Amino acid sequence: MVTTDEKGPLTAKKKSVIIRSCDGDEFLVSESAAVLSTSLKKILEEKEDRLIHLSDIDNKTLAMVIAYLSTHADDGLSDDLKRSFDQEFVSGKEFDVLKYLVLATDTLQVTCLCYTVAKKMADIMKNKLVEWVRREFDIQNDYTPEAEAEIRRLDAWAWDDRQLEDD
Amino acid sequence: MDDSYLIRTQTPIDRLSDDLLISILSRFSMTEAARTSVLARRWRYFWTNNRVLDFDAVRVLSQIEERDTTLHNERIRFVKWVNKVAMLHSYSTIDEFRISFDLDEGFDDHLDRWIQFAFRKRVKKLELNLVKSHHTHTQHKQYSFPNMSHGVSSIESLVTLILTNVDVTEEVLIFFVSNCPFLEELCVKGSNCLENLRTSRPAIRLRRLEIVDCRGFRSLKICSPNLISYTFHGTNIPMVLKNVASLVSLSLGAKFHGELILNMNKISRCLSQLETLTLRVSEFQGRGVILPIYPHLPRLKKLVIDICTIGFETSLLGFTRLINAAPSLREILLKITCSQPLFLATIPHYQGPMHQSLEVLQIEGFAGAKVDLELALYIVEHAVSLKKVVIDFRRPTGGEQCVEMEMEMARKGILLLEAKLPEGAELIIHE
Repeated sequence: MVTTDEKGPLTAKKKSVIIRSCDGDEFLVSESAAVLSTSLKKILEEKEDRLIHLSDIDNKTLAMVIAYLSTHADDGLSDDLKRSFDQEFVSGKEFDVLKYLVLATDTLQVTCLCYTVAKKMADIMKNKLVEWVRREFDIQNDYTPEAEAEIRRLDAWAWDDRQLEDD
Repeated sequence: MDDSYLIRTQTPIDRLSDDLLISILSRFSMTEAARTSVLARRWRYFWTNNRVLDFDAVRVLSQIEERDTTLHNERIRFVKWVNKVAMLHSYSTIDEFRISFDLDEGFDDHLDRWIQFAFRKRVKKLELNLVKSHHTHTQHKQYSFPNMSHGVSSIESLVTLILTNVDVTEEVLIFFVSNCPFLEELCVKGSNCLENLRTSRPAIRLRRLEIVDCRGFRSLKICSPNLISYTFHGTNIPMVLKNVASLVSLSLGAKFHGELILNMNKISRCLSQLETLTLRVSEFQGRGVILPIYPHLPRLKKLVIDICTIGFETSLLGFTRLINAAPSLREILLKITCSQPLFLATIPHYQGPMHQSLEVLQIEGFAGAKVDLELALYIVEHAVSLKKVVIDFRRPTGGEQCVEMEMEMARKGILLLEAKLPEGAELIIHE
C-alpha cells in the first residue's frame, strides 16, 4: 500500500522517497521533507535506494512524524503557522502516543520536533512518583531496597515535602 | 533491502539517546531532576549532566521557623547541594547556571568558585539572585562579584548576565560588555558599588539593559544600536542613550514622580519609537495634574502604570495626558497600591477626548479607593473600543474588620465600573 503525503499531490519533478513502517505500510514523502530528519538524510546520501525501512517505528507514529516533516518542509507556510502547528501537534496527545513519538523523533533525529516533544514529556513527568515513571517507561529497578533508601537519604533535599502524583 | 539501513533499538527508555534524555531533564527543576537518580542504576548520576543548573531554594527561606532550623544551617545545606552537583557534573557545557538563595559576603569563596565553574562550562546564562530574607543580618555586606581580568576565552559564550543584590563595579560590567561577543542581556539590581556605566565603544549585541535600585549610581552613557529594552529604576541622574534606534520597550522607576519625569525628559528623543512603556513610582504624592506635557507616543501599544500612592489628596488623573498622547495604545495595566487608609469618594465625570484604539484594561490589586477607581473610571468612560476589563482584587491588608470593609469597597468599585462599560466590553474578575 502506498499512502501519499497528506500535503497535496507531489509534483513529478520533486524527488520522493518511500518509507516503510514496521507494520509494512509505505509512505510516499518528498525528499525535502525526509531530509529534515538527520538519520534519513544520511541514509539518502549514502544510498541510491528510494525505499527506507524503519524496523521499529509503527504505522501510526510514522504517519505523525511524516505529517510533521511535510508541514515543516512546506515553503508556503509562515513560521507562525508552523509554530502553532507544533503546539497543536503535541497538545492533545496521550502519554502512550507521545512515548512512541519521542522514540521515533530521537531515532530519526528530527531536531526541531525533539525540542517540542521533550518539552511536552517533561511537562507530563513533572511531579510524578518514581514508581509512576518506572512503570510508564518500563524501567527495571536494579537497586537493592537498601541502596535505594541510601540514595534517598543522601539526596534528602530533593524529596522535601513534595506532593507527587501517581496518575 | 540492505539490513544496515534498518534503525534498530531496544526497550523503550533505553532507546532514548543521552542527548534527548538530557534535553528532557534540563526542563526539570534541580530537585525534580535529582529524584531520577533512584529510577535505576543507569540514572544514578545522569541528572547531574543537566544543562540547566538552577539552584533555587528561596521557598525554604519562608519555612525556617516551621522546620525548626536556622538560616545558617540552610545556607550550609544549600552550599553542599551546589558543590555536590558541580563536582558530579561531567557534561562539558551548560546553558544556564542560576543561584537563588540568601547568601552574603561570608560565602564568597563558594560563590567565586561557582562562577569559575560556570565559565569553565561555557555558560550562556548566568544569574545570581542573592535574596535577602527577614533572617538576614543587615550589617553583613553583600557578595562582591570577582574581578574578571583573567581568562577572557571562557566568558565568550555568555549571552545573559543577571545579578541581584551582588556588588558589581563598572569595571567588571564593561569587561563583560567588551569581551563577550554574544552578550545580549545585562541586568543589575541592588548593587551598592556601581557608580557609573559608560561604554566607550558601541555595545553592538546588547538587546536588554536593566539597572535597578543601585544605590550610589551616578551616570549612564551608552551607545547601543540593537538595544530593544531598557529599564532604569533610580534617582535623577545624567543619562545619555546614544544611537538606540531599536529601542521599543522602556521602563522607568523612581521613588518620586518628579525624578522619573526628569529622567524621562533626558531620553525624550527615543520616546516616539516606544511600543511598551512602564512607569513605576514608589511614593507618589499630590495632584498628578502638575505633570509636564508629555511627548507624542505614536507607536505605544502597551502602558504599565505601577504606582504606590501616599497622602489623601493624591490623584493619578494626570496620567490621562499620557494616554491621550498615545493614539495607538491597545492595552493599559494598572498596578496601584495606596499606603494610606483608603476611602471611597464620589467621583465626578471628567471631560476628556475619546480614545479610539484602547482595547484592554487590566487592573492588578484593585481596591476601589478613590485613587485607583478615579483613573479606571476615566479610562472606561473614554475608551470607545474597549473590549475587555480584567480585574484582580487587592489582597486585604488590615485585620478582620478591615478585610470586610476593603472587600465591600472593592465590590462597590466594580459595580461603578461595570455600569460605565461601553457596549460589548467584557468584565473579567479574578478574586
